[in-house]
Amino acid sequence: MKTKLILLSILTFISVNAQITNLHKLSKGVFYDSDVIKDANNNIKGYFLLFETDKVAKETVELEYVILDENLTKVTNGFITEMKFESFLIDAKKINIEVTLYKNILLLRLSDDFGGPQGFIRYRTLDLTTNKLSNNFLFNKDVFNFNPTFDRKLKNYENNASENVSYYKEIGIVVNKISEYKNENSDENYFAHYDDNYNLLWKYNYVANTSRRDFKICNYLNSDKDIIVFQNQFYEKYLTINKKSITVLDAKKGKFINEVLLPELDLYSYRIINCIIKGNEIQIVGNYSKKIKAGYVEDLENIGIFNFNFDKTTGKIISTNYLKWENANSKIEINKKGLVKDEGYLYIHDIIPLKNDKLIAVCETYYQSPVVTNNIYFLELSKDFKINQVFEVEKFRNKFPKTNLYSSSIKEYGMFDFMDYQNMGDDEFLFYFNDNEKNSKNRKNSTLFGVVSYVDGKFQKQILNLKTETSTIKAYPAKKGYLMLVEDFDTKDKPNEFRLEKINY
Amino acid sequence: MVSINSKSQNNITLIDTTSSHNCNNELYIEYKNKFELINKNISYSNSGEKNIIKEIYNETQKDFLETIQNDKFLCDNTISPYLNGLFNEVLSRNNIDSKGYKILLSKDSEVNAANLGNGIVVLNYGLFLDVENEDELVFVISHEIGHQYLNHVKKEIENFAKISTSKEVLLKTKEIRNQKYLKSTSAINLLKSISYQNYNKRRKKEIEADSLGFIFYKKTSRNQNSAISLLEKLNNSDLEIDSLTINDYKTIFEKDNFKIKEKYFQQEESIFRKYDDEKRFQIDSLKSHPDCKTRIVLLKKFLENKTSIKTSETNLFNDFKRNSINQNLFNLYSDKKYGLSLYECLKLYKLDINNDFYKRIIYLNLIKIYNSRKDYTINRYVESIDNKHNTNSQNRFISFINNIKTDDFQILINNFKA
Repeated sequence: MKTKLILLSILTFISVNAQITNLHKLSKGVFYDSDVIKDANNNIKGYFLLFETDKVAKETVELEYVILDENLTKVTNGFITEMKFESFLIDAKKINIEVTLYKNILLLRLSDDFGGPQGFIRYRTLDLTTNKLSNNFLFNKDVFNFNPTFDRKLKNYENNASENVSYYKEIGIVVNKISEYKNENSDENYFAHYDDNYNLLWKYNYVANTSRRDFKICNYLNSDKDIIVFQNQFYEKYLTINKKSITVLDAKKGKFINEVLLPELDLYSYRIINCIIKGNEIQIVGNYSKKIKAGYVEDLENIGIFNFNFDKTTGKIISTNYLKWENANSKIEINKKGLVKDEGYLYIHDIIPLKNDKLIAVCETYYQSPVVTNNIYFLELSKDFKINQVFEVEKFRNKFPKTNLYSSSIKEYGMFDFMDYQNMGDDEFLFYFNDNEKNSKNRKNSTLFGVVSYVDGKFQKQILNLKTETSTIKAYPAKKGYLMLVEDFDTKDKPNEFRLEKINY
Repeated sequence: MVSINSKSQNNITLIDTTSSHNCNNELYIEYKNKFELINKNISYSNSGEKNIIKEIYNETQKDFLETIQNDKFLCDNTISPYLNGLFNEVLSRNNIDSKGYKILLSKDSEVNAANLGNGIVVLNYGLFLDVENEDELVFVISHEIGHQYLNHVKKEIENFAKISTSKEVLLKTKEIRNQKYLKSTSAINLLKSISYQNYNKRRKKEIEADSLGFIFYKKTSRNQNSAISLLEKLNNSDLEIDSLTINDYKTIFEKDNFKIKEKYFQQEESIFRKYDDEKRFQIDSLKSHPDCKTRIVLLKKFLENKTSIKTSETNLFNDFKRNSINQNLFNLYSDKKYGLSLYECLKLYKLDINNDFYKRIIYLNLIKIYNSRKDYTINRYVESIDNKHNTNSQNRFISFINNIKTDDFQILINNFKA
């Protein structure tokens, strides 16, 4: 979500630039939405942009899509016609795009954007060997519907919106059908796997509802060629409860292997951060707190990090490990509730596995009220789940007066400063963060950009001061090992400059 | 500015950039005054046309003055009189009043020339790299004088203003504004039709300039076949002749214990396999120049059978030609195109590793590129990897420059230090 927000601001720059300075450079249209194209290792491989080029009829627009490669070279462009909801009460503001890369195919998920909620989900694919874009397709009423006739009548919504279609890692196309529960007989929920030509390979039906108000929502975590791992969040009377489980499916036949509740739910609440499939094990890692009824991790009662290992063949739990903050205070001044002295509570952005079975947890300190984001901490965890080293990165203390938010919302609204990471291979990583006053118009306070490298087991920080006398420069992660610098010049007639710069480390 | 701006070694004489700077200052004042006078005297009955013409003039004049201020033109007391001599030869043999005509030499390494209107003909230094004899150069000058003689630039601006303010276009614009749907598509189609009209006219103008230029050229009594040989060269001027392999880098940079690491050349594999041309606005349809093959066929019709005329051989041209490769490397460097200067120089150096001039250019460029990497501004001075337009050799060079660790970069610099 955050990546999306960041990219949006970058590409808004691009679009403005394109419209003012060179009509042919990117598009003559109005910028709509964009997404980065990432590979399975979180590395940026390209950019997909959508522009509105014309309104061709009521509720119908012509869009231009533009694809840039990782070097910002234009790969292809094309024009499509799409419907967009309009009414007296509410209009869809734009059409959103989300892109997933699988082998040589981009799966494009398009949806009408109602300023938050999204509707009328449909899909297209783009074949990277030919750059050919498919017609729209939907999955509804248990079948793929190619090139359907659309309308925007609410009473016909079901025929205009797709079930969730995804590319699962090392598997391919999987549809997740969630039924609207009316009675026991009408309830059919399933995952269905299709080949590249949309032929059904297998279907796994599961029971999601015990009544209209009590159900579970099943979310994909990870997969390899053998298994698919899901997490299930349970609801009672439409509200989340402290009940989470892991489901393991056989990926070749869609056969159910196991469903296991997370351990000690009577004591703890969990937030799963990463699922790693390695050898014959599934490793689930995340953050845990004192149990709360709603099942979310309690920010102010944050206990530590958990690590559960499951057997890949049986789906059974092999081992459980808990790293309590109270046992980590020889390396970091943190209390048993996750409060770092003078800094705030620890929010875990990511837990990244290394080849040598170590883990790196990327954390940032914060306060809820008013929201303050503070220093960033990198924790290197050993194979036996102990803290090897802590690397503290001092950065700008961003304060948001008159706010009161949970950490999940602070993350969702992009108020943290940690941006992203790049996997350079051979257990080398680059981590990026802002070291600026957020939304500052004071150039002196908005030109610092931080990079932390992790090479040969050592962390190193560098701060780039991008200050110039005639422009404002902002930095964003780009292709592996590079930054994208966007320079916005003070003089109006000079277009924005985009540069990819190699990071020295 | 660096210190290799005059006599260097091995009888290499580079153009004195200090005198170029002074010359550019004088040129700036001259054209600033000239443009003010031109702008005062623009008079058209139609105010719409006048406004458009004024706007275009302002933009092009501003660009030209900026180019002068950025020291993009070269002049000194050898090459400037030489080019003026060739220029005046064409003008006087054709009884054209040389007043108001001016020839300028740009540092640009692209094999090209241009008529900017107002009597200004610009030759790119890159021409010296490709032309084989003085006659070919004179044909280029004749072609550009042809454009000026026919007032192509002025007419094109006036024509654009006329079409843009014509009743037909204004009416169509009004219609589009009142449309409920497909506004943009209609506007683009209108713009396209205007553009195509203009570009078609431009193509015709190129052929006109070839044909009139050839008439002017013939009056100089030079070898007529040189016009054809020049166009043949232009046809292939975009092709890269030499390249740099990993072994070349090893030959060039491995010294003492320093070893070139293959990982410096590694490029992240792109997911994209195919790069398309722009859709909707077809670039090919907008090319102002007809392709060289067509021009050659047309020009051959005017050739007279005078095989006895030999190609001109002059010492001055031969001197400039001999120095052109080095001068071009230095021009690129002084124009802050450090990546290009270094790349071109490395290709030459691998064939002549005892050349001190090349060593010096490599050293100077390496320092600039190293500093820009430290400042995160390398992309201003070294081209980016481009899988659509660059050759493999160019992308390999860019990867090398970007991937080499800064410590190793310093070793390279030290190895090339005099």
